[in-house]
Amino acid sequence: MKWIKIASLRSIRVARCMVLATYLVGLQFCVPGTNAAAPGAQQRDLIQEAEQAYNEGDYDRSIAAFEKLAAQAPEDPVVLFNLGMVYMQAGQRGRAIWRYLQGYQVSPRDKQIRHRIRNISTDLFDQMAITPIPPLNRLYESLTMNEWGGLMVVSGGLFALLWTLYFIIPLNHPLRVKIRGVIIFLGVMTLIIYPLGLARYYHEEVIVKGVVVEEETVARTGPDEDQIETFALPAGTIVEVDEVLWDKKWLKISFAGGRVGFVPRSTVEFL
Amino acid sequence: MSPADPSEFGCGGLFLGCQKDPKTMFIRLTYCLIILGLGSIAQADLSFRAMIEPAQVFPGERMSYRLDIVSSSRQSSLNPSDPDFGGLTILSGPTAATQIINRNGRVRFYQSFEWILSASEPGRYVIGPSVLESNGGTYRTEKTNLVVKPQSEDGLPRELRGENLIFGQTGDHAENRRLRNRLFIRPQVSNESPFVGEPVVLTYTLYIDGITLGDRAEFMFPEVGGALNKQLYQAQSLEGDEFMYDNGKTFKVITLYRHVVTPTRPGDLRVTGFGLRTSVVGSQPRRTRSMFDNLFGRGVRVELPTPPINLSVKPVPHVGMPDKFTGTVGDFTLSVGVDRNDAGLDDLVTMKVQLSGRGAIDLANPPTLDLGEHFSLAGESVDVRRVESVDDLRGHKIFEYILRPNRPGRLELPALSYILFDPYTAGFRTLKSDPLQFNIAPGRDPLLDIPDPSVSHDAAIRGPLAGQVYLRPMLDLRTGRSGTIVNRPLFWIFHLAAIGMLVVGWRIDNRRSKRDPERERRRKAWRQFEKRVQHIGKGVSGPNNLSNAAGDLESAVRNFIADHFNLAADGLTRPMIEGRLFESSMGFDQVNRLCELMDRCISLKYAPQSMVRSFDLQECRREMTSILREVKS
Repeated sequence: MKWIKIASLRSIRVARCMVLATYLVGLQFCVPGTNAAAPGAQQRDLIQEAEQAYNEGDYDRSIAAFEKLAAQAPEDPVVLFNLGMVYMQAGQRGRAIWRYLQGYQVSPRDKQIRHRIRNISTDLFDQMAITPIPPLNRLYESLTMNEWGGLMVVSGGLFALLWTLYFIIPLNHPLRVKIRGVIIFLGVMTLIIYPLGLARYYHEEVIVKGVVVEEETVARTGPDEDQIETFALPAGTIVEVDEVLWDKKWLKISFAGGRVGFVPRSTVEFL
Repeated sequence: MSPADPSEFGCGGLFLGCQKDPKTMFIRLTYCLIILGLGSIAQADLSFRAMIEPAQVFPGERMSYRLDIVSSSRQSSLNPSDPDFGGLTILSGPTAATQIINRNGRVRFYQSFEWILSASEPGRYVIGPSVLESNGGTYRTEKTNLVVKPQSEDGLPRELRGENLIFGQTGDHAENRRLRNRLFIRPQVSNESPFVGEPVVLTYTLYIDGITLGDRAEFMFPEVGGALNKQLYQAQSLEGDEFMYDNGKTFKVITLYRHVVTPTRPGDLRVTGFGLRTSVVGSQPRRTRSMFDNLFGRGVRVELPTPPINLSVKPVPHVGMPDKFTGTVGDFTLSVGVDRNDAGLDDLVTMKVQLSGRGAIDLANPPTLDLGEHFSLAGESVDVRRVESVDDLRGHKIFEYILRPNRPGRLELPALSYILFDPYTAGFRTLKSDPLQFNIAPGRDPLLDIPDPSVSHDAAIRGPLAGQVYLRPMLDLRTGRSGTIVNRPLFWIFHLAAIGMLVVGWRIDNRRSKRDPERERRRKAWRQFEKRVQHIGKGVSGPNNLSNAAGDLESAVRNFIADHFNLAADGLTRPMIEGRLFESSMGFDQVNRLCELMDRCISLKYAPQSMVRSFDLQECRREMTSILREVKS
């Protein structure tokens, strides 16, 4: 039987290595991904046009071409990075931050995107932090939502599997002692992975976030231009979108510190 | 005495010439009654008069102007018009009061409206008439003339003569005259026509000559709109140094309050007056003291309210104003510094621009930065540090800029110039710093390093801004959307399955326990053994404690074996232990070793102390636990 083969393991350390290997293999199978392939003819034309316009300083044309490309490849970090770069050159800081943050969401370990975000605004990472503990934040930031989900599946699955196996194995069998260490290790891993994964899910899927893209955006007390202005939102501010109002022309947003206001839909882009 | 003409005797005369004619007497009596009736009707009419007290005042002294209305019937809405007070200052009022007096059955209704006035300058003042309309009639008071005599400056030092001094005011005019030139406040203004943004220091100093003031004092602080108002000093008590002046008089001089007002817009600016309320000890109060007098200690309550101060604020002159004028007003110096001159391309450089000096530092505007083409701005902050001073406004304003170098090499940051208006010299000044030199090393990430275009050019780096930014090559393209794993039903089905597996494992364990009560008993025995052994030997010192701990260990092992094999611990002999352990398929050596250790533990109770000291309890505990773990499993 399979568990008899596992019993031949000499130490728990080997078992733990196997668990880690299973994690990695599991991630490959569990995490949904996009297809990376060489761009087609139409896409190549768009890339060429965007780059040429950029080199000529015609940023509007470059943005238009890159936006078409981004519509076809919305999760390509390089396209999002380049789009952010062009927006930045065109003086649209808010839109540049929006595109960089989108790139960061799909590829959080991309050094260049991180570098750009840090250069544009030093406190954006602080705005996105979930705890005041830097190592925990780094761990949280280093994986995408889907990678966290994959880890949850693998660690939860393995833990449940070994847990059941532990009780199925006869009491006096020496494998029980060995398997117990692995179960404890997996339990600890699960306790770390699940809160972080669920936090990521909450911040990316449950809460609708947006970036203020227009300069001099002002939040008002109600969804109308006649309402009183309450506070100004600089371009690039991350806000939470609570509600879409008035035939999708106004958004009810909340801001750091619990401030709530209404802004025109055109001033905020969703992350 | 000749008979008098009846007409000379008024009403009484009506009866003198008609004693013999009853008809005429009746007619005359009727006339008399009619006249008396008309008289009482006339008395029902009201009287309206104005009164000022005292009639003779000095500048700054208070006076009371009162309108009295007396009527024989209650009239609810009597509102006399406010008189024209001319150049007099209204300190308070009108205060309305109503009184009803019943004298010998005749009821009188009194109403009064009182104003407290003061004259700032000596001269002749005229208070206009007040008009009252009641029952269709119009009543008017006479004009009131008032002469305000110039202040007698006898007893004042020469340097205080001609100053606008505010003397102590009590409710008693005789007391006011006694306090004149002996208790007063001197308001001082550093500049009555400042420029916008120029701080004006206002000081209120109390002078006392031989007057003893009460312990308690209350200040009324000045207020101002359209300007920044900051307190510099406030006296904590009415104690001060004594100074002898040129006239040989000694005054106790106390600086009561000093504040600085910085106007923010041109035009007239009114600063309300400062006030001191305290009591003069040693004076006899004029009237019965009220409960409020106790608030200010014994003596007569005295007030020193200063009049408002009007400033004429001038705008910053347009003539000669440079184009790059920052809008800052003050006497400041400029210093510029950076945290490092040698940095990498990935590093950020902090530049501090500091303005220091005299003036409203809070209002100082940031400089216009010219970073050139080599640096870009990554962040900025402002910090204001005020210098604590009781004389004027001083401080530093630090503008901190985070700069990011755009390329490596030897770079220069252009000199900074800052144009301000100095109100003390009434001219514009340009502050200049030196240009700053930097050595910027290439960055650590080669992908992010932008080489100096004058030195080399990397083909991978493109862009119109000579290597400042570049696009990343797009060799592969990730098309489509991946979706979120958590939103997929499979994710939740998988988790349900995992939870199901956990439940199944737990149920299996439970069922097994129910099927095998022996196993449950053995598990409990081990748990109890672990609990007992856990604390044995911890912190043991001395041979007696050690022998007791060894006894506890032996007892714990004996109890475990008894519980494990369902026996009584008391009657457990060594052959019984050996027999049971052999039955549980334990090795001969291990059984012997365990029994040997148990014997050693029990023998320590009677062993000499030297032997007890050499016994390693922890080692014995570990060895016994490891042997018994096999029994348990």
